[in-house]
Amino acid sequence: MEIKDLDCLYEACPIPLIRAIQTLRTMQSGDILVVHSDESCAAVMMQEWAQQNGYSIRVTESDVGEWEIYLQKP
Amino acid sequence: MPSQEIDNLLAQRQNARQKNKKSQTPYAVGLLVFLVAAGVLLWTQDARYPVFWGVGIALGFVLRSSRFCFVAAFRDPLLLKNTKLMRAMILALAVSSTGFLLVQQHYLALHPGTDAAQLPGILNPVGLHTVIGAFLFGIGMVLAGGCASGVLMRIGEGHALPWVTLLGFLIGTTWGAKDYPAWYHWLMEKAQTIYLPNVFGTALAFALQMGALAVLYGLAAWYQKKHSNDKQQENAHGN
Repeated sequence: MEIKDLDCLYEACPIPLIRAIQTLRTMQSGDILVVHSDESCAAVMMQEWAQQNGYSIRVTESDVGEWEIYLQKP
Repeated sequence: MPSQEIDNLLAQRQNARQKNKKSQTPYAVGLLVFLVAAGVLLWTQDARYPVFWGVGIALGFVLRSSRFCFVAAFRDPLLLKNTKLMRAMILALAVSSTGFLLVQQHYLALHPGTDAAQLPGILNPVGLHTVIGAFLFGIGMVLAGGCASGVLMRIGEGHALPWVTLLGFLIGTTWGAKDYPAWYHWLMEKAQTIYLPNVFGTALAFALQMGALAVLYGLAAWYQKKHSNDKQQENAHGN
C-alpha cells in the first residue's frame, strides 16, 4: 500500500479534484491519496465524487481553513 | 464506504501533528458584534435597511452552507457527471418563476395594461446578445472559479484569491457599461421583450414553463443515475 500526498493549497475549485483524479489514475488499488486543500468546496465535491465512483474517503480540517482529504482507490 | 487503512493513517497523522488549531471564537464574537452594531446604525437611517441587511447576511449564509454555485451547476455535469447542483438550480427556477408570476399577476391587477418590459422581475429582450453574453460569462466564471455571488461568498469565507476575481469583475462591469450603448444599438434595439403569459395566456404559459423544467430535471437525474450505474458495473468487473 502506497501513500501519496498531493499539495493543492491555493488552488481554486475544481483544480484540486481534477489533479486528484489524475494522480489516482497512476496509483494502484488500495493506495491512499492525501489531498491538501484550502478550498472548502473541494472536500464537498470530492465526497460526492468518491461516493459516485466507489472510493473510500475521509475529510479532516487539519488547520483553520485547511483540509486533508483521504482517498483510497477501490 | 469506510476504510480501516484510512482511519489508521488519519489517527497516525493527527497524533504527529502537535499544533493546536487557533480558536475562531473571538472572530465570531467580533463579527456578531459588528453585524448587530451595523444593523442598529442602519436602523437609525431607515427602518427598512436592517431588513435588507439581515436578508443579505442570511442569503450569504445559505449560499455558503448549501454550496449553491452557478459555476458548479453547469460545470459538474460535464466534468464529474454530477447533476445535483444543476437540479437544485432547476428547482430554484421553478420556485422563482412561480413566485414572480404571482407578483406580476398582482401588479397587473393593480396596474392593468402594463407593458411587459415594465413588469417586476426585470424582463429583458431576448436575442443574439443573450447568446453572446451567456457564452462570454460562462468562460469567465469557470476561469474565475465563481460567479458574482460565489465570489462574494468566498471572500466572506476568508479566501484571498477571489479578491482578484472581484477586481476583474469591477473592471469588466465598468467596461461593459462603457460599451453598452454599442451593444444596444447593434443587437438589442430590435430584439423583442417576450412575456410568455401575453403569448400563450397565463395558465398555459405557467404549465409550459413547469413542464419544460420538469423535463430538464428528469433528464438531469437520469444522466447522473445512468453514469453511476455504469461506474458500479465497471467497479464490479474490475474486482
